[in-house]
Amino acid sequence: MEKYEKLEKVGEGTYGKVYKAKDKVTGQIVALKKTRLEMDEEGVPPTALREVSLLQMLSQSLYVVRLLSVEHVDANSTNSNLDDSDPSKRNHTNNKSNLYLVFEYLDTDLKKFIDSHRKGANPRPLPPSLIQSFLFQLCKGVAHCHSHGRAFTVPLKSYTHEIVTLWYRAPEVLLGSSHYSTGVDMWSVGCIFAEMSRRQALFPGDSEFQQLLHIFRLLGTPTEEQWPGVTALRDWHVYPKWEPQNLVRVVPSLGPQGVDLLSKMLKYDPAERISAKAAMDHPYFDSLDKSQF
Amino acid sequence: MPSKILREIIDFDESFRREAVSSVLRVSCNFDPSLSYLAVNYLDRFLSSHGIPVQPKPWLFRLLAVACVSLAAKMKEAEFCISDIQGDGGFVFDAKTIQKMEVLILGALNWRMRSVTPFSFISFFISLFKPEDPPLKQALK
Repeated sequence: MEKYEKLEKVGEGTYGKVYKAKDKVTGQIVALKKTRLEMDEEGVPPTALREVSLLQMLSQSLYVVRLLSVEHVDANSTNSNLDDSDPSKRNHTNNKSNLYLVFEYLDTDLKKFIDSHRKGANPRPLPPSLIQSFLFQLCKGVAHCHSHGRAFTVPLKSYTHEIVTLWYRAPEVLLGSSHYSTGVDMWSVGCIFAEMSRRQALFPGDSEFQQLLHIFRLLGTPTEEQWPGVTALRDWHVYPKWEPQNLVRVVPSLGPQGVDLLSKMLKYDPAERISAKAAMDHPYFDSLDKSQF
Repeated sequence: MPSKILREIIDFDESFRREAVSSVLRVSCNFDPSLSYLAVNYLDRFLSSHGIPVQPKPWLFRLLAVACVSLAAKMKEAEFCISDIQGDGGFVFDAKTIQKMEVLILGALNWRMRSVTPFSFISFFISLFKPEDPPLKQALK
């Protein structure tokens, strides 16, 4: 890790800290995601192993953040400048070591970009052509992940329940389905699509229950006809019966093709939800010059 | 006689590999065969990137095998415990040693652990069958 000069901390998550850093030789600016490896009796943690190997495979696409390398720093042998900021760690040399994921550095993210158009001196909508271009690139990245990540696992197995930030979480996950699939990502893409147009979140729930109510109030309470099997899901209860609202009301500036694509991403039945690949062929993108991507 | 030297190197490599593979198979005999296959994949890729030590110590085969099987088990989310896979065979490694070996292998393989093996295709082909007999389909799975 002596290779990199740490410039500033740019984020912190449950997993650890993210630093902006510079490659001392090439001058390349990178993002270092530090993950603490708790060295228990079982060696390298399976979660880290699976996450990194998955990233390693997916970051071949231009539309997925690029993982440049993985560096393992054994706490026993450390003297690198990266740990200087935290002298307490040097006393803990026994079983702690760190994994640094070295990513390409991106100076902003979509959330910050949308915020900059909502707040500040010059609030203004995102230009429709930009929303179109961003959504296409998002679909391209998701399509890449879906075509690689799940290859050949035809019979779906059950997954962990706690995935995806609440606001972007698909109804089947909120209702306790354990056999969800790539459709959960398309739901999230739909939420982000609407958010780019609105400059505020589509379903800003503050609990799982409130999240469902936000969804039901806009799209109507799902029925068995619309979504076969919904009432059999683990966390299904009897909810107030809301009628579906017209989507145009929440995304007035999107235009008819945009609203049509959004409605296909927000289908209740995951089997009916549009795939990332099909979304890229939707008429909403007809006016986009796809050759640039 | 370069060809003779080459021949000797190959013979040596082959015997080392044979030894290491049989060690993997012994360590992983209680698991699904696809897990052993994945562990051998790691082993081969590690040996081809790292080379083979000139005078391998006998415990090296064992450590390499334990680490490869441990990595494969974690990738396949198999229920296991390090002590399960190093019960017999005379060598018992502490967690730190195994972990060091794991990290060494991960580095050599550049953390690319999602190898596609022939086993990856089986469920795909089974899903193409429409067996008359549902229990048969169940058994195939």
